Amino acid sequence: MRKDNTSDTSLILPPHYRKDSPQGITPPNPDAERDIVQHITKHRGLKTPYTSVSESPDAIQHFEGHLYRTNPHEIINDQHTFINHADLIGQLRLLNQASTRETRVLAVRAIQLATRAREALVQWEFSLDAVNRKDRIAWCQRQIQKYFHKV
Amino acid sequence: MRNLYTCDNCIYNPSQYQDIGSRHGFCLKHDSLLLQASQTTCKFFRRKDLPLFLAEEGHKEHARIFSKTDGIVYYHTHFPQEPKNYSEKYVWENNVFDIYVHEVAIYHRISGQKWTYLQGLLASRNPIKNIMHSSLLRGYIQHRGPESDNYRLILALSADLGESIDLRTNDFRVEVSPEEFISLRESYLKDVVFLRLYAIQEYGYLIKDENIIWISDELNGAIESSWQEFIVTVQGIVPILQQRITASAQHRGTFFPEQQAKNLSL
Repeated sequence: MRKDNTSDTSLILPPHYRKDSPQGITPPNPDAERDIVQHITKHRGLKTPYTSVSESPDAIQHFEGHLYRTNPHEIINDQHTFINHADLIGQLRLLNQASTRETRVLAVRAIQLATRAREALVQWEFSLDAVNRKDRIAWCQRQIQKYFHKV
Repeated sequence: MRNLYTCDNCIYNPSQYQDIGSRHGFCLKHDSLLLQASQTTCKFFRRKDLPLFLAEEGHKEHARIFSKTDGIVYYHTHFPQEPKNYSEKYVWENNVFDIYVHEVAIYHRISGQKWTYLQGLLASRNPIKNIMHSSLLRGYIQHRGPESDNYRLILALSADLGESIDLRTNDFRVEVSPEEFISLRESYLKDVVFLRLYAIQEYGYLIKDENIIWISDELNGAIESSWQEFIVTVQGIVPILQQRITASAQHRGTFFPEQQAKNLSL
């Protein structure tokens, strides 16, 4: 599955949007399991290494929180992975067809949620070797704010 | 992105589900109107949009985060929402009467024979009534536990599972444009069916029957199809489901025992 932090510089991605706390963007947990279904459905709770965004501010207009805008190319240029909406839905479809019974139920829920929100994902690729494990979430919180701007 | 842990996605608030439902909610746990259900939560929160057995880990984390709160609180600040008891007089005086909230409040206040009220909510093409029914049924069945075999309530739900549903713009509790309505309609119609299916799956989990827990497998990826194709697929699984529920109850010896059958005379 193609991810958009590849060398495909011809791909022009529009600004993406997110609703979040007025105090800033909720941090990812870089040490949590990397599982897109878990992230979208939050069935194991809120801790995931991803940040969700939407390709359409209209699709998330009814969500609570402050509206932020981000430029995917700034994220990609810093070597993070950007999974656009179409690729995300493609990955979820595969999970719905070929995984365990439990994952299939969750994948259906994720498809519903991701489709309605026109969701895309940022997978953060920070180098965390020099950061204490207990400080990593707070450290990530500081790092990701620069990519998001209040609308 | 959408907060999935707020009152508008909780089974104890039966008349709302994410963007659809009544304008205000009613919490069965706190006997209170929910005035901003997309912003509030509590430590007893239980998701509508997943079967309980797949959401328990998330529920535990949520309960831990809100363990020091009492009552209904705002999600981000943990500040309490002042409890607001339902009063028919108040809602008429303030012109905020809502038939769905009223029905939930009545359900909450009746004592005994709640199953008769649940049965009365069936056979409706109204999506909000469908959501109310599945939410109340899930709470009822969990509350009664495995000792009380509620296969008859589940069979009755299965008989209604493949029926069509009429979703209208007015069923949204947020303002939606005609274009938005078109883009959201099929997705929410399917979700109404999924919420009903989760009630059946939770029943299967309670009685430890894998064939009922994973009835969802019979949908075979129909989520990708149109609503018309989807509901035909659902109609196709109804006989399979009913056979499994009946066989399971017969196996346990709970399927219309002789004395019960005589009493009912139906």
